[in-house]
Amino acid sequence: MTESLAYYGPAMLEGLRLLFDLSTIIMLFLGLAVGLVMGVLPGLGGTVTMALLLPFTYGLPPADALALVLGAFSAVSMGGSIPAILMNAPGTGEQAVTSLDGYPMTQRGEGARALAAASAAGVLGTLVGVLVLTALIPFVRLILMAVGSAEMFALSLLGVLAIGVLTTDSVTRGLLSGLIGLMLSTIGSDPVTGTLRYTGGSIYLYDGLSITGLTLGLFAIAEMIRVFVGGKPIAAAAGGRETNIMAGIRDGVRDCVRHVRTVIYGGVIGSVIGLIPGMGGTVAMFLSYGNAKQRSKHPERFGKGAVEGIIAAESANNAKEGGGLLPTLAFGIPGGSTMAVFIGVLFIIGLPPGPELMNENLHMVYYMAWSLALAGILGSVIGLGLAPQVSRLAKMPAEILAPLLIAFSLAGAVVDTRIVFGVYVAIAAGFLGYWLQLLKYSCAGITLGYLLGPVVERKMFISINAYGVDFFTRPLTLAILAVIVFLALRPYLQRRSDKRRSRAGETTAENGDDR
Amino acid sequence: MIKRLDLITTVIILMITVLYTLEALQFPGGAKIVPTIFGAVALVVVAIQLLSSRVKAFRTLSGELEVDDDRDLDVFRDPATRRRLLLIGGSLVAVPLLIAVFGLPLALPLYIAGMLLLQRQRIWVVIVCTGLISAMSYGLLIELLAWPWNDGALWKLMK
Repeated sequence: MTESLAYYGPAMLEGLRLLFDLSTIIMLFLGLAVGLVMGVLPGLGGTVTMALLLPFTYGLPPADALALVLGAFSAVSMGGSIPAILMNAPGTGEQAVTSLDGYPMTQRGEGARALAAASAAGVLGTLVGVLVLTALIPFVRLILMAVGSAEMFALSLLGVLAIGVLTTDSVTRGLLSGLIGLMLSTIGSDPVTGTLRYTGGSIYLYDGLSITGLTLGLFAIAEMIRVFVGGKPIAAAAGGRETNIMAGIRDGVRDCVRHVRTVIYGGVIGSVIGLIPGMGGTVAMFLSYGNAKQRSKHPERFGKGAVEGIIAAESANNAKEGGGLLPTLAFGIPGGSTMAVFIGVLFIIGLPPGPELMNENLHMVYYMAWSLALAGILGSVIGLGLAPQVSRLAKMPAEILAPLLIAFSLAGAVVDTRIVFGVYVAIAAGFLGYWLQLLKYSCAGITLGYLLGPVVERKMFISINAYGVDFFTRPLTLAILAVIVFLALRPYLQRRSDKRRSRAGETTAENGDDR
Repeated sequence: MIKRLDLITTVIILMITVLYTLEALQFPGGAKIVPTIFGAVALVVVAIQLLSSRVKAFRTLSGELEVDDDRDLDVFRDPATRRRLLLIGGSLVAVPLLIAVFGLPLALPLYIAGMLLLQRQRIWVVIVCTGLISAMSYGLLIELLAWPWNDGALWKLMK
């Protein structure tokens, strides 16, 4: 225990010290403002927000860049709950669970109470998530000690293919998404021998495609094309009239204290779900909501304006961010699309995920945990204060919003390379992303494949040099590769087991009839 | 229609993958290993994907048996949606042209103004949004990245 404290204590303190730098605080507030606005705009979530902020992390010190994106990341979910509660228009898809009880409360004139309960539950949920994250760091570092280049090669491959498979309904489309990303990553000079590949003689392609151009295109521009083409009215008018806003806020916070067990359950469910790649916020929120309903003395009130429903959903949604950071930082396996883009940020600021980050830059890992906690607290307080004003943004028509954000993305696409070619990459990736999403491919898989492709290649060569061509027969590498094969064969195996089960069911029924 | 477009997309991916793999084989020494592996694996996966649209047995392997075809068909059916898709698609295709003629810092405000005017938005909305993007263009591109405001062909011709 004393040894652990001696090892982890300085890293924790260094992380805390970085957080209280003036420039970091300014960046955190900037991120919070962007996150709140983006969260309020229905249809845009953490992924688009993070993609839009990606170009602005260039040239920033790592601590400032992380404060900016984590501030925004944390505020998006608070921002999303505002229109979900006040207008029945969930800012992010997953917050449909919050509107189940939030909007009926607004219609009853208890909007402020619902918002306050969501904010307080969000803060406590974030704290539980961060607690789980910090508690698990020592265990993850122990696992990482057994990880060499061969295992990192297999883990990177697993990350790319898993995010592809888990974010789509079809295994082949998911695998293909990851493979398209991996193939795109081979454009430019080879990371090992320096040979130029697939450049077609163009000097613009010597360093590969622009990361910001590709990410902005695949997420922000593709999403804006979808929003523009959909052209649906965004938010309806609010419901009942609020009687006493301050009293409502006080009641909401009290509700959260009264239902502290729901918060803890929600926090733990969210953190655990966050640790599992591909599970996402919707699963965490529904599981926590179902759990709260099961334990409630009045389950019939759920869906009709029960404050416990909001508390359960929001605490789980916020806690999952902390849990989701761990596999992302330690193994480069993101929990979802937002974390896939976050890996892009980590590469840009020179802190690629993996053993190096967890060992040599441990203070930055703690810094991220503290930033997330502080952003959660500040985001909830600011979000609650500005809710009535910010929620008006949700009424912005898609016809204005989409061109605005596209112009913003196109300007951001040149920040990394400083050549106009980045704009062309973003436009092409926008069309590609829109089209492939329509056909149910995974843009997160493509992005992660592109980011981790060079890592896969480098680690494979190091492994061949260190262990020979049969490096993949090392036990841990073999186990990880087996997980990849299992993921690829999952639908086939599931179908077989379903068939066997139905056959067994038929036999039992026949036996019953005979008797 | 979406099924046919899906099939065409898969065929295009297959053709690109074949070309990618053939090109990979031309690279010298160690540079060819990884692209060849990626290409070969992608060829197998895309072949299963292609076959699963034709042969039911392959659908178990691709995991598409339970997938409902609930994809956004409105894009092709509804004339208003089709018009919006053409508008946004056309405007994005026009961006490189605007950049070539006016240069990037001016192309972005022109893009936003054009898009809003084409949709007959109120004039104050056009002015506010164009002003916002002009300010962002000036701050980010001209001030921060030192991008010349007059790097388009038009300004070069005027010189």
